[in-house]
Amino acid sequence: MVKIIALGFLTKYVGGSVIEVKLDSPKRVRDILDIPPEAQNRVIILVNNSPGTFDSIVDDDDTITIMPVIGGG
Amino acid sequence: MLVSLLKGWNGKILRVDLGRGKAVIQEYSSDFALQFLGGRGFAIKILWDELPIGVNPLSPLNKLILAAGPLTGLTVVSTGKLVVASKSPLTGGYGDGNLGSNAAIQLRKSGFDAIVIEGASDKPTYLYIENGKVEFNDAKDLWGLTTFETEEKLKKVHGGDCGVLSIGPAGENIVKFATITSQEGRSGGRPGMGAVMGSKNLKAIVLRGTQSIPVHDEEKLNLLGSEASKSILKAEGYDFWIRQGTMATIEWCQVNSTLPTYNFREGVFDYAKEVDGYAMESVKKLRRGCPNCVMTCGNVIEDYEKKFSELDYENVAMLSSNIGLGDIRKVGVLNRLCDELGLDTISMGNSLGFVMEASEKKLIGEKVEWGDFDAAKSLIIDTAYRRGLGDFIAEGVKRMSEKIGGESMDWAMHVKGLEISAYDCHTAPAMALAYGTSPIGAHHKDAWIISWEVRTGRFDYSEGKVDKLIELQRIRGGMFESLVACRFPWIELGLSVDWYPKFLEAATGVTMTFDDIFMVADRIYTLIRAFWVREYGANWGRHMDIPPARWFKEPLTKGPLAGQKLKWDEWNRMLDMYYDKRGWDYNGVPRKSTLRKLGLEFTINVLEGLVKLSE
Ligand code: SF4
Repeated sequence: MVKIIALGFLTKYVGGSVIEVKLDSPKRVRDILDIPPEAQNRVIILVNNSPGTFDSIVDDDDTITIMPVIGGG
Repeated sequence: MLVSLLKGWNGKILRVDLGRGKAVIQEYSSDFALQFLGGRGFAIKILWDELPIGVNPLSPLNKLILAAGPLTGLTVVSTGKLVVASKSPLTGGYGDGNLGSNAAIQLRKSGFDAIVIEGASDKPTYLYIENGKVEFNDAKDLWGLTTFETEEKLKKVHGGDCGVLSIGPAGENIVKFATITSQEGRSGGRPGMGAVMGSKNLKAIVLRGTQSIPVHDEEKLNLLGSEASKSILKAEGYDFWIRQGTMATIEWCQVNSTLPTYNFREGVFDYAKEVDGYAMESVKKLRRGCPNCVMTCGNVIEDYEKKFSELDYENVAMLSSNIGLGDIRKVGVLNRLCDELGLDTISMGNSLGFVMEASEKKLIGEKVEWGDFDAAKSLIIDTAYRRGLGDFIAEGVKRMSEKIGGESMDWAMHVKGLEISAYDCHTAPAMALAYGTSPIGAHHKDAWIISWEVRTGRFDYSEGKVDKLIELQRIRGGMFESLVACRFPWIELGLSVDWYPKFLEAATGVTMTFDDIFMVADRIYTLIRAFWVREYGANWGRHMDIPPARWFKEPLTKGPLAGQKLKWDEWNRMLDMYYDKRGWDYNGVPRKSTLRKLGLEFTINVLEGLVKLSE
C-alpha cells in the first residue's frame, strides 16, 4: 500500500488527510494523485521524507506527503 | 524637486515634539521618496540622520516613526498597513514592525506619509491628529487601561471611524518587548516600540483624515486593484485560507519538525492536534482583518474565559507547543491577555519557555512547570506590570540569560536580543541564516525559507539557499516593507509579485523594474546594517548574526528527524557567502565600495570613526 499524507487545502484532492492506495506496479506520483495543473506549482512533494516531484516513481510501502507551499507568515 | 510633484506620495511628514507640545509639517524631496520608497525605508533614513549616536532608546532623544508607503490606503489589495520604527530598547539596534490598522489609512488621508514623534511629554498624553491639526490631549484617564479599553474609549470620544494606535500597561511599564496595538489584536513593533511610546508618556495616537490620496492614474490603479483581488479570490487554497489562515501552519510545521516545542528543544509536539487549525476551527466565532483586505486572516475564537481572542500561527505556536500547553482555548486566553496588555506574543512565549526551562534546571528559585496554564497567565500579567518574576521576564531572554549566566546562554533563543519567531531550525539551516541576518533580530518577516528548504533539500548548506534567502529579503523585507503592503497575497495565495511594480507605477507614475526595486531594498538593508554597526561600535562583530547554540549542540530527540542538528562549520560557510553577496566583510560590516554603490557614502565617515571599514 502507498500511504498518502495530505496537508491543508490539498486534502480535498486526496479525499482526506491520510489515505492508502494499493499499487500493482510502480507508478509516477502524477498517475496516483489527481491534482489540477493550476495547483501543481503550489505543492511540495516528499517521497519517504525526501524531496520528490510529480514524476517521482513510487511503489508499495512508500509514503507520499503533499503539502502546500506556504510563506510562513 | 519636492515630492508633491510626484503622485502617490503625499510628500509630507508630520513632526510632533511631545516635549514642547508643538507640531510642524515638513515637505521632503522626490530623491528621498525614490531612494527609500516609504515605510521601513523612510524610517531607517530618518533614524540614521537624526538620532545621536549611542542614544538611550528610552530617552526623549529617541524618535518613534510611523511610516506608510506609496501604496498605503489605496485601492490595492492588503495595503491597510503602516510601519512603526525606532531604536529598540530590547536590542539596542534598529527595530520596526508593521501593523494593519485603519490608522494607516487615516494617516495618508490626513495628507502625510509619516509621523516622527520626538521628545517626551511630562504627563500622560494622547495625540489627536486630523488633517494636520494636532491636539496634545490629557491621557490621565486612559493611563493604566488595556489597549482594548483605550481604543474603545477614544472611539467614543472621536468617533468609530478614526484610527487608533495605543499601548497597554506593558508599554507604560517599559516592558522591553511591548508593542503598539490597534483594533483588538493587530500589533506591531516587537522590538519594544510600545516601550518607546511609554517612555514618551504617549498613551495613544488617534488619526482622522478626510483628504484624498494623490494618485497618478486612478482608473488604472482601480482596474489593477480589482483584477488582483479577483485573482486572490479564485486562487487555489483561498477557501482553506479563509477557514484556517496562518493556523494551518501548525500542522505543516509539526509534519516538518519545525514546530517550536519546549523552548525550541524539539520540532514536534505531542499535543499539536489540540492546538492546530482544525482545533481552532472547532471554537472559531468570526474572522477579522486589516482594512482593504480580502484575505482577513485573524481567526477569532471564544477562549477558555469565554472572551474573544484573535489567533494566528505565531502567537499560538509560541504560547502552546513552546511552553508545553495543549489546549487551544487556554492558549486563546494567554494570547488575548498579551493583546490587551500590549505584549509581543512571540517574545512572551519565548520568555515563558526560557523561564520554564530555567525552573526545570533549578537555575531560578520559582517553580514554573511546562504547560502550567495558571502560572503562564499570572506571569503574563506580572510581566506587564513588572511584578516579581515578571520584572525579570520583562527584560527579555537575552538579559535574563546574562543574569543567570552559564549554559543558559545556549538556550536563550534570540538573535541580537530579539526573541526567535515560531520556527525551530534544528533542520532548517537557511532559516537559521534568515534569523541571523534579519535586520531587526530574529524575526521571520524578512525571509521565511523553510518551504524552499523542504522542497530542495533540508540538510543542504548551499549557495542556492543563500541566493534564495537574499531574494526573499529583497522582496519581503525590502519591497513589501517600504511600499507597505501585506506580503500574504503573494506568499500564501500565490499572487504574482509582478503586480507590485505595476501598482507602484499606476499610483506614482514612477516606473521601476525589479532591478531598481532590489537596489532600493539593498540600500535599505545596508543602511539598517550600518545603523547597527554604528550603535554597537567596537562591540559589533560576527557573533551578532549567530543563532542560538542549542540548534548546533543539542540534536532533536523526537519525530522523524530525531538526531538532527545544525552543522557549525557548514552554517558559517553559508554566512560567509551571505556577507560576500551583500558586499559586507567577515564581520558583517558593509564595505566602503558597497556603501558607495548604494548611494550611502554619507555613512562612511561616521562608521570609520567607530570600526575598521574594508574597501
Ligand atoms: S492577509 Fe491578514 S495581515 Fe495581511 S492585510 Fe489581510 S488581514 Fe492583514
